[in-house]
Amino acid sequence: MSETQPLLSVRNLRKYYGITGGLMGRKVHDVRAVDGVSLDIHPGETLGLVGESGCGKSTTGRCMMRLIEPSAGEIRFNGKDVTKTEGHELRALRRDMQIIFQDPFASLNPRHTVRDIIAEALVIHRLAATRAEREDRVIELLETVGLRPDLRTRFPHEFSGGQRQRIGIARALAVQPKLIVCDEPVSALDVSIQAQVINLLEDLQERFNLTYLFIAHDLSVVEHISDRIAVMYLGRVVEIAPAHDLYRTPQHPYTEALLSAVPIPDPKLKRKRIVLKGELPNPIRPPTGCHFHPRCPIAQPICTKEAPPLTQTNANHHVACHLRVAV
Amino acid sequence: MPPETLLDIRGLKTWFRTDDGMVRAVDGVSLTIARGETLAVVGESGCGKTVTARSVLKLIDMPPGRFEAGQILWRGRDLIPLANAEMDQIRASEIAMVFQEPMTSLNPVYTVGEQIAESLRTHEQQSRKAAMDGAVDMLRLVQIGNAERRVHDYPHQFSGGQRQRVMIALALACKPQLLIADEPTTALDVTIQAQILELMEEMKQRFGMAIMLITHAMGVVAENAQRVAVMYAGRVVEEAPVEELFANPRHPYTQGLIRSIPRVDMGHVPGTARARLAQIPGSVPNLLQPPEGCRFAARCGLAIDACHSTDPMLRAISPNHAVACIL
Amino acid sequence: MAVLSLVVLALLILGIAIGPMLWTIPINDIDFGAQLKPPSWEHPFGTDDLGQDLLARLIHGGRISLAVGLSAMAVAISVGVAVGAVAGMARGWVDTVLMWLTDLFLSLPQLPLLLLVIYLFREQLKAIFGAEGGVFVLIVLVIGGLRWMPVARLVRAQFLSLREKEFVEAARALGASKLRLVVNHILPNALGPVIVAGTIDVAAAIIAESTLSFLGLGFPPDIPTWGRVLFDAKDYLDIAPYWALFPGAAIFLAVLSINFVGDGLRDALDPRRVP
Repeated sequence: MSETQPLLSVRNLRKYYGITGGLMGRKVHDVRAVDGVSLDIHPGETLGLVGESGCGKSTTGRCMMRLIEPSAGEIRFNGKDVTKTEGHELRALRRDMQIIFQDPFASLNPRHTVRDIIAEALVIHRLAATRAEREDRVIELLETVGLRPDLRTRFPHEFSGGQRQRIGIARALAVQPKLIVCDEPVSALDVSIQAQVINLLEDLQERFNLTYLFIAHDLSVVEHISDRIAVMYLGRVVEIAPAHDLYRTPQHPYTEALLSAVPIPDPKLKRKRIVLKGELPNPIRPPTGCHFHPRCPIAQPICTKEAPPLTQTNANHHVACHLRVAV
Repeated sequence: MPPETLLDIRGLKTWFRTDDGMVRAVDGVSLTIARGETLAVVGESGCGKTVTARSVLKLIDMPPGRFEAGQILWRGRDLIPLANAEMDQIRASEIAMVFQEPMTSLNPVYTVGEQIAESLRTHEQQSRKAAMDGAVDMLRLVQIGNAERRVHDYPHQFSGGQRQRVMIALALACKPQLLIADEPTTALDVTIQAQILELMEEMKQRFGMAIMLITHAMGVVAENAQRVAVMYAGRVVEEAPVEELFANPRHPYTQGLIRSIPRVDMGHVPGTARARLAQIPGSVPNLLQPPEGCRFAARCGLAIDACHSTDPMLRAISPNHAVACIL
Repeated sequence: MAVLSLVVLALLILGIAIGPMLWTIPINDIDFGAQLKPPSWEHPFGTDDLGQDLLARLIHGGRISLAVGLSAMAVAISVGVAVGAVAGMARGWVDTVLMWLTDLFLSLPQLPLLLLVIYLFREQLKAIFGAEGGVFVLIVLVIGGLRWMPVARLVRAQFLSLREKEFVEAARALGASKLRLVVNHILPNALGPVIVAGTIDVAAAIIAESTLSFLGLGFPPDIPTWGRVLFDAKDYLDIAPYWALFPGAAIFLAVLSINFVGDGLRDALDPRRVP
């Protein structure tokens, strides 16, 4: 897989938020939401990005799309540096990268009909010459995502959560993107609806040869849909591996703990669970060295001093841990 | 001799009057919980599981809600006709509740110590000093480090997982016999969820109390419950011991629910075709006009004509397995 | 309630619009033979101290009062939406400066300022727009110019919360320009509370005009407005209470119905409410 040119390539991405305080609004602290993330996404694959709340996974996804301005780092889409594009070029880029959001209630304008919502992209990018052409395209998109086209004059509040998520997907598809950032697209949905949306995303990927960055906190969903998975902890990627390897041979102690904490719907399965002590540290003052060391069951003195680099351990498997990378 | 039945809900109907008509949120639910057992009530949003739980403590606003029919027998005594003052005796000291959002269920203007002590003083008539000591003990019990000092902290000074620990401490302060936990870990990260579930299990062993665990996550059910009641559209559709339910689900809805969840231990093997998730088509019926016959019939792959006209009753198919399906 | 108010408001507007065609007595037809007459068939609302017909004067006055109210609201809303939108979109120092300005205006003592501005500029504007027009422009600008601040704050708060909404982000991701974001996505969703604030402004402007006229600083005495008529009536309250009663009732009805219509309008414009 790594022989192909990556579709999207991120190097040392950083996003710091200044916290201002005092009367004059001086900068007091930096919150390091994303603290040096590097990853590649290859055409046609699904890269899963998992981590707990506040680990920076959503910020990473939004930085890639320039919805949030990154503080530093390089993002290349098809070889072109995304961080430097502006105006007309940036708009062109947005035809190639789209995003699907978590909250199907907040992500659709409540005052627009489904037709307006889906047609907006066509208007912005002048993808339809006539009104009739636009209407045909809207109908086609609704059929693609499995919604009845005659519902297009309705407003978002008249739909259920799963249907709304389908509308959001149709909107993203309208510009025929190459890459879709899926930001927790099923976390807000009921279990039986989750499966519908996941299956739809998989079908669409096959049909339109899409590439996904699939951001989620639910490891079982990410495991199911992804080809490769990147695990984030406190602004950094701690492990990247093919989905299958990650579950069978996790190398970072955080990944191990995360996997063992996921409840499995099988009462006969008795597993040894690694319950982590403590909680996610404050990203204003992240721990020195390896960010995970205060909660790590196997931490050594070196972990408190040096941040471990992401290192390849075997084919396609990268891990950032002093102790798991054989010297 | 089987353990004593603590709670026996019989044919409970809790309805809500709205502008659009009567919403039959809970429409004929029967459940029992024996001393020391964990009963999981599982279902999707709007299935009535939370309303059932709140009905037990009579935490339903009336109006618009009202008990249309049924009994809630708490150790043989019906709670429905009880006056508020009598109910207050039972709340907290006999039946306690933990909610999904620990931030909104703690009062932000009192320290957590004051809140726990308040409960001890009202229900156990303890002195101010004894109650404060009791609060410290409870915090220590739920493993909040530095309990003597943290007892004087306000809710916002705790993180999400710690707040849920505080909620549990508050709920358990008066040693209730039944703890109703309404989605206690839904708002938490997976590693924190594992901590909280482990704590609840420990507390259960220690106090010998029963737990009614309301959740939508089948994984949490499998790993934490002894018995499971599956709810759909205001009714219990299947009830069985947890191993039996997962090994031999009989209701098509339960089957769909179990099959539709991706499992982290069954990720897809590279080079093989990706397994599709089983999906339940459609969405939950409107409880204003519940469909005639079986409420799941419209989404059921096995439905026959009779399903749309005959209302299936919950019937035992073996001594401890009951299902509401005419097939 | 909103529908009833709409009917009342419509009747009021209809009355002042076609009233002069049906009730043809001139407003300044002085008749010393009919001074301070209580309501009768000849003069349904009675007459004033100069024997002028009050119904005719109120119909004419209503035109000016309502025009002042609506125009002042338009001024307040335009300025408020503009200031609030710019502050909410720009953020940073622009936001800070605009909000300082808003707070500054909010802390000004309004009535003295109103009086001062009117004394200073009345003559100049009269020269440009004529006697009636000059006062009209002045009053509208002064009332509108002192009532845009709550609208600005409201719009800014709405903008700040709406611009973070996912549907706005989705539009950005689609490549929508800033103008498109504001016009298509943010502003329509911010307008609900603005409409309500706006209708309250209509009411407040009618009352402010009445206050000015009551203080003798509004329109000249020969031009009747509801406030002016009320002002003139104050000396005769004991002998001709009806004189004050009718313009008072007109102001009360107009203000109340406009407020209720505003509430109804906000609900009607919200697609989430199923009709």
